[in-house]
Amino acid sequence: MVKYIVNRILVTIPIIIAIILIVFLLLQVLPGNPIQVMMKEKVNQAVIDRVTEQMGLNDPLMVRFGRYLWGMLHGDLGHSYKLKRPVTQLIMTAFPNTVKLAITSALVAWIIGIPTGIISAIKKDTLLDRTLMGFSLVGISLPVFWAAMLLQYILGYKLKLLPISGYSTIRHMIMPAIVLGWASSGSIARLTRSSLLGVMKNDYIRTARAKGLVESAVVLRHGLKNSMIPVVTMMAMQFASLLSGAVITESVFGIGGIGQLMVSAISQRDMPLLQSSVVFSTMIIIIGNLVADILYSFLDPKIRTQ
Amino acid sequence: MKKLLAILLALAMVFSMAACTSGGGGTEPAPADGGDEPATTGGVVYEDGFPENVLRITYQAEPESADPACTTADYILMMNCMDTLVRTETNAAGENETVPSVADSWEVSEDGLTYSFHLRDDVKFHNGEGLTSDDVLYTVDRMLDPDRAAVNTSWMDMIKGAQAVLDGEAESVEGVGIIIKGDYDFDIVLESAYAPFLPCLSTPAWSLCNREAGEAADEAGGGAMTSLYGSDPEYFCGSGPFMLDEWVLNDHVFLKTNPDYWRGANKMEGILIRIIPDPQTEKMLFDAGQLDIFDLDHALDQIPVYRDDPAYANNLNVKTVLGTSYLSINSAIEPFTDARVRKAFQLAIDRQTLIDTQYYGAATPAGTFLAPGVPGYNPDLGPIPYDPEEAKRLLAEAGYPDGFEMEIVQTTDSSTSDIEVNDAISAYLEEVGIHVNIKQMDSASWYDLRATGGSPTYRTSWTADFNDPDNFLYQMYGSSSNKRRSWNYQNQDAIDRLEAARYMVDPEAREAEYAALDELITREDAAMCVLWHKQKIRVLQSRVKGFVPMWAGYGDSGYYETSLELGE
Amino acid sequence: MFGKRKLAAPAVTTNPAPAEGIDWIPEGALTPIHVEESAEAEIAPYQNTWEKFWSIFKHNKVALVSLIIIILYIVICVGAPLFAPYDPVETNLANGLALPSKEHLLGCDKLGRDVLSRMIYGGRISLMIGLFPTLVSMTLGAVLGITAGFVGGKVDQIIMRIADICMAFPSLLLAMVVSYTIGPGFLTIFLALSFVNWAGTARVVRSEVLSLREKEYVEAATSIGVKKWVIMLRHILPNCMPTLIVMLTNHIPGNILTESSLSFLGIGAQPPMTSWGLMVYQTKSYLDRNPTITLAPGIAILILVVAFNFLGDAVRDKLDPRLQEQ
Repeated sequence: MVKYIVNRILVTIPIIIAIILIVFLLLQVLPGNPIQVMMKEKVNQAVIDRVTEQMGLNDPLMVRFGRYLWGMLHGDLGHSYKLKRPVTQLIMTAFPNTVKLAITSALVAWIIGIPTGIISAIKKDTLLDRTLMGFSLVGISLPVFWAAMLLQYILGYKLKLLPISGYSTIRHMIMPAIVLGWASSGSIARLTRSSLLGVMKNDYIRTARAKGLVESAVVLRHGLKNSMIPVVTMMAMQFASLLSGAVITESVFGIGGIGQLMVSAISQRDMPLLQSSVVFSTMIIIIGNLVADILYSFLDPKIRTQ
Repeated sequence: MKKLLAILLALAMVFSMAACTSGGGGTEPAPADGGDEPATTGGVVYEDGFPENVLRITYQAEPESADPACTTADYILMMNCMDTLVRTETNAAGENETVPSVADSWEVSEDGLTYSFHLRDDVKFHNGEGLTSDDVLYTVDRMLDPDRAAVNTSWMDMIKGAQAVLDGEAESVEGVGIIIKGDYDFDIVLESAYAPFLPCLSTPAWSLCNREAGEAADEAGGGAMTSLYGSDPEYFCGSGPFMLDEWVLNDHVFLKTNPDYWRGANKMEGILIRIIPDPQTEKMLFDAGQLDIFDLDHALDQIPVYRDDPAYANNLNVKTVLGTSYLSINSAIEPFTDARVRKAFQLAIDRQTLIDTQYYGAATPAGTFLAPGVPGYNPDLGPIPYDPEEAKRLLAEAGYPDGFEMEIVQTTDSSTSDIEVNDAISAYLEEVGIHVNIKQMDSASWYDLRATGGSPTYRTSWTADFNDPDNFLYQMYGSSSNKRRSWNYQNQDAIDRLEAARYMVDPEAREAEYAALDELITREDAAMCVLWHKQKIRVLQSRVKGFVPMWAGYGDSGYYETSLELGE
Repeated sequence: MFGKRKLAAPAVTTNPAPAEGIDWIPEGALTPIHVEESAEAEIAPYQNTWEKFWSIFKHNKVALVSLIIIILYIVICVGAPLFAPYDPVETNLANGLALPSKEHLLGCDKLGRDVLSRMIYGGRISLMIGLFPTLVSMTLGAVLGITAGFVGGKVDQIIMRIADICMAFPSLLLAMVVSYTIGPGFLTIFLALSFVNWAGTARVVRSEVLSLREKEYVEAATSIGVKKWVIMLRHILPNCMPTLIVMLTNHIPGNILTESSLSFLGIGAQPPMTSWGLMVYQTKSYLDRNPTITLAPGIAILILVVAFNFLGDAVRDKLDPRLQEQ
């Protein structure tokens, strides 16, 4: 088990290095001079040339990459061209907002998703099952920004139930969490249901039934445990993907998270910020996958015994 | 089952820890000052947690910096927290004039090379230090410092010795470009007699910095290029009516009123600038009373909504922008090499209808590039008429009876209304046979393309930095911009005259020369397709009193004159 | 489904967990692919894939309705010139923001263009983005997945590590990079979506292949010296088809949603043409004054995506290969 986990972590390291390299190279092909973008309509050639030179943007590719890596090893991710602040500071300010959004959305997703899935499985093929599954499917199918916009308009503006924008309190987070959580809850509910139904076909369940237990007791006491294995891993992965930044939801609700940071950095060609935020968000996904894999192997006895 | 529970618990703990760290890190937007109790006024509960007597405005993206060396566009912080030597103000007659600010009086030598300034002696920086000639010198040296990689150097490079500092050959312009004669008296010497130097001093780029604070900020940031001056309230230091008090990234900036301001303290407690990227959100917040001023440029389609709403109809603030919207013409691209084609292009667009339908009347059709109010503007020329028949005739005469195809560049960050206007313009051009292909590009790529001189037509607007025709025409067709803005204007004689007019000392002759050049370039040569002069419409909450929009009609304004009418 | 992991596990020492069944694609917006096991699915082992496909609709009314909706969408959008009442790009400023009426069933946008016509034409883009990049990425994913699974060893390692990287990269950002580099347009969206989605397909196909590889007929073919690529083409590929079809029905709605997000970022459909995503984005400020023009395209996306998802569910219930092992 330990060997497996260590092995899994070791495999991740070259992937992370590859990603740092790929992101760096990929961003080099982007046309556009960040200084020119900063200058906007003030197109003074002399100033642009001079500042570009002074900021070291004319240095050869390898020099810049070396500088970037060197800084990274020392915990210095450079300075944002546009916002004139250390990139570390910008990411560390944005990340808590993304974390907040991720936690609240994940909670919404789990609180809705898991019970929905269980009820659907117990009441399989009834009207209730179909309704719940239909509800989940709509959640998966919603265009996120459209739903966000409508919720904001109806709940925030017309009914004045919730704050329209911002993220300072829990109340602010409810709407964005519903939008993202609904979509994720759909996947969870469907997976819970199918996984539970799969488990319910096993012999020990038949035995439990034969003992005369009520169906819901059978499900909750015997079926749920094993059926949650894939669900928990999926939850971990979903959470990681939420942590890596929900660009659209963040921008509709004005949440200054990682997603927004990346989008603004790319349009400004703010390379130090862009590089680091992309690597950061990618690493979260990779770590999330890693955690999911380890969880999976931990939970699933069949893999553990190997 | 137990194991599963344990894992779920562990997960929950990890998450709540993440939540705690995010809450305790000091980086999280916590309701400042006002504490947990939301302020209320007239039934409005302020969800931002700030007190009632705070002006609430928005910014669409994080302001880049409060440091004049660091931004060429986000001037809001400088305009409210810093002072310039002189100010431009719109007087009762609607004319823009240069008036004293920190500089009480000045004299200009006859050759137009030496400006002698006398400072007020009662101006204090936010750190308590008095503003002296040395701070002016520091402001200039700081901007020109090659280690700083400052972006606003073009406002100062006409000073004698400035280029040497920029090139790293000299440390300072002291004794060459700026001669200090006393704590409050100094001369600025120019390289050549740049005529609009005085109005140029009123731009936010010339905001005055404090030497002590500036040096401390550089040191704390680990160098001039990474200075904390413009980003950290602790190190920022201006002398303006408001002080940078709190800056929560991605959320808001709070400016606190400076009680010791030399013109007298503003009566509000401060200004809250909320970062709201989405105009639809901005509208909803305004309607909910959470914002005091809503710039309708962000959401043109709300103009009729507020104009027709009796609650707001009297609260609209209309300011004619000192600037011009135009479609560029790249004279190097066929068939725009032919002046007749350019003229046809100008005539094919029905400006008035577009203004009425797309801008709800909030603009006036333009006939020349110089805007009304700029010296040299000639009202007699009138707007360019809409004459599709004449346009067709000109096209036929130029050899394009069946029209031609052209491209219009549109950046991907264009607002919806910009996209709609482009579509509407394309429809007009189609009517005379010019088929438009809209080419979408992201702005950074497009800036690159434009700088090579190869950009097809694009639509944008120019707003005055200072009130002088040089800031209009030279910025477009001067030798350094002609290609970079993809004009490729061919009339070398006109370009040379533009260069010469910068240094004409006689104001009347100079104004006449610019009037002639404006007509030559925009009408006779039809080098640009001017469209309209826009109005900036803001809707204010009725509690906002005394708001004076920035003289040129920028989105950024100083709010020194503004006050709030409070509930009981 | 748990029975099968036993087969797959030995071959996947470095990458065991994200095996079959669960969606390991990290985009929250995309529809996950996971095995739904249906108790009553009892399919004759040698039934032809296509026969199975048609048998889906015999008993499943929801699936049938979904299929009809999708076909209707496709017919209307492909035949846009026949169905659209107006020219979608013809402006008439006098009609700006006209409310729904007999002449303009869904009203007009600010330039007086008929919203219904624009929706019919805009659907072409949305559907094309849903279909074509999916087909490309599925093909790419299938080829690489089969190669990785069947050849194994270093090739497998390299392909799967690249897949890991692709899956971890933020897809919207990638689309922006591509779009900014080669300019926005259909090709951009096409490249970006294809690039992101192949990895998930490759992963699932690979694990599928790993189990197929152990099957007797493959072993038999190998032992009599049949060439590798022939085995892949003749024996492995056909057996992967059901999985691929299931994934196809899941990726299509995902891509339609992604396109609407891209439009939101300004790199989706290019004006004067439009897509539903772009229409929602461009008309959101009229929600107060003329809600139809904002709601209609959003509902159009929703219905289409729901239909694809229902269809996907039905197809999966019938075709999923894992069901045959029970």
